[in-house]
Amino acid sequence: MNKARKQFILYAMLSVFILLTLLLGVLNAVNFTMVAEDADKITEMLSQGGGEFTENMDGLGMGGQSQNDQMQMQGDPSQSGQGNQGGFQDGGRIGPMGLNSPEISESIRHFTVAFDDSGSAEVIAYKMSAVSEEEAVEWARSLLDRQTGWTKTTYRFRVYEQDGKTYVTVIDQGRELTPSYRILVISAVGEVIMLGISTWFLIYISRKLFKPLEEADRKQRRFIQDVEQEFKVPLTVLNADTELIEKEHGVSKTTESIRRQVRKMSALVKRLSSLTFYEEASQTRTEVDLSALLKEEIEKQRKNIEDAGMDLQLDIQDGLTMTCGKEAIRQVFAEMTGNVAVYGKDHAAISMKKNDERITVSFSNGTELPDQNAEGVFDRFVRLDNAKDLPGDGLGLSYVREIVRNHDGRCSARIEGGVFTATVNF
Amino acid sequence: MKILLAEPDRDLLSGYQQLLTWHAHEVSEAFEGTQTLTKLAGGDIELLILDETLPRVSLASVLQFAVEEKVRTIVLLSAAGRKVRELSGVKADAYLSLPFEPEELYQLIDEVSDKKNQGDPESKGAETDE
Repeated sequence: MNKARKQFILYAMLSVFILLTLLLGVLNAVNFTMVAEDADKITEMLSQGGGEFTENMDGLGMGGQSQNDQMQMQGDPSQSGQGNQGGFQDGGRIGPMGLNSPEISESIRHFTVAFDDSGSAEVIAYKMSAVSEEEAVEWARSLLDRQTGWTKTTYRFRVYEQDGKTYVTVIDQGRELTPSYRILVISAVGEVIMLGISTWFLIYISRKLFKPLEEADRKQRRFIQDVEQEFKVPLTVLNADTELIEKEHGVSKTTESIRRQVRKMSALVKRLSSLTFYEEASQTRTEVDLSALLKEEIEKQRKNIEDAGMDLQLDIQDGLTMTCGKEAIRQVFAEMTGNVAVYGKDHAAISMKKNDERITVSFSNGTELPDQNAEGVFDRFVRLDNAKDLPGDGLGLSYVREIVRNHDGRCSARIEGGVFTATVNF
Repeated sequence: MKILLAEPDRDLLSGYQQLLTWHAHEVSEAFEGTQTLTKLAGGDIELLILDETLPRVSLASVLQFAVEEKVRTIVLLSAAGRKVRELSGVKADAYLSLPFEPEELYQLIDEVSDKKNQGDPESKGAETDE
């Protein structure tokens, strides 16, 4: 499986995951909020009934009735029957029975404890078998400093003041919460299953999607290899023939021009072969001593750098290692130091350091070019103004970038105050 | 030096035949495998310049035969570049990847024959022992 396909699957999975989590998260959040709202309405009913359900249970705002209507109804027993009926039809949210069911006083387990200023407690209503009255008092006392919320997971409570006393009402919402928890579990399991299915689907579909791309990639490689192979022999023959002509007729401007052109083409052909070679070399990863590798490559160029009249400063941290394609990274260092040797002026500095798990290799040298972001040097066939008369095909640094990207690194370059600095981060 | 040039491309073959002759070598040519084996047999060849794409006979058998015939130096011309080094069983004294310039070949010939000459006393000693 290639990198692009892996990334495609990863990002697609990530979006499916985010979408599903968001959707199911909102669904469950709304569901739990609604249960809490309904529970709060019940505790409100109890608070208005002094800890007990009154005969007039008109649903407290359920079915669009305002607080005022309800208060009026409470004060008008003749209308209570009507209110009940209306509420029953509306149903409420907590199941078919609804908040307005006449059975609500039987089905809700609850207790209310009143505390006076001295802190002595009086159990106003007690209809709960899960705890004893004493435990209920202690439980209520522990809730005094709060207003409303969940306690012991499935119990809803409300703390309110009435006639100078503080009342604590606790109701059991275990039965109402069960379906919500069930939905939560189903959502979680469903999400896992959906993710599994989409993974399978993405793997399947990406194989189809990427097949033409992989095919094109393979053809391109094949083409490059063919061109490279087919050019090699003719170029070698041209080299030999030019030398033969020179031996027979002497060196002339014509033969020199042929040699130059053949050399250019040969360099290009070698580049093409190195392209495929370094791509493969990037794949085989081993633990490599980068410090030693960089020093090796610098030694190869030291003479060239010094011959060009540059004073070379090195600041290379020892023993820096990385898992990478050794020959590919060697090419990176070779290109970069070679660049310093060919294009540098006056002074050159090469450094390698490790900061925050990242290795930074920096190559800098003097230049007569003006300040600029020189990122372009890593593009194909881009050469800076000072390079036009110097050897090179404008491809070296584009390979560097390819290799560095293959190793999840990045390249940058800029010119500032007469110093060209190219940096590679791994 | 007695050189056998085994190269399937006729132009390349004739070009380097002339160039190496110019450099005072005694050069014989072969453009395919069996011809190479015939010329190697009893030809007292000192240097074999062998193209890896030589048809008819496998590279490994040519190399083995060359060793049996006591060819002192083998230079392998490879269009496939360095990967040739990784091929199992193919062992030459030097490798030259195409395209190359005549100067590169001359230098390589000098280098490998110098190396062989330095190692000579030992190998000659071994031979006389036999």
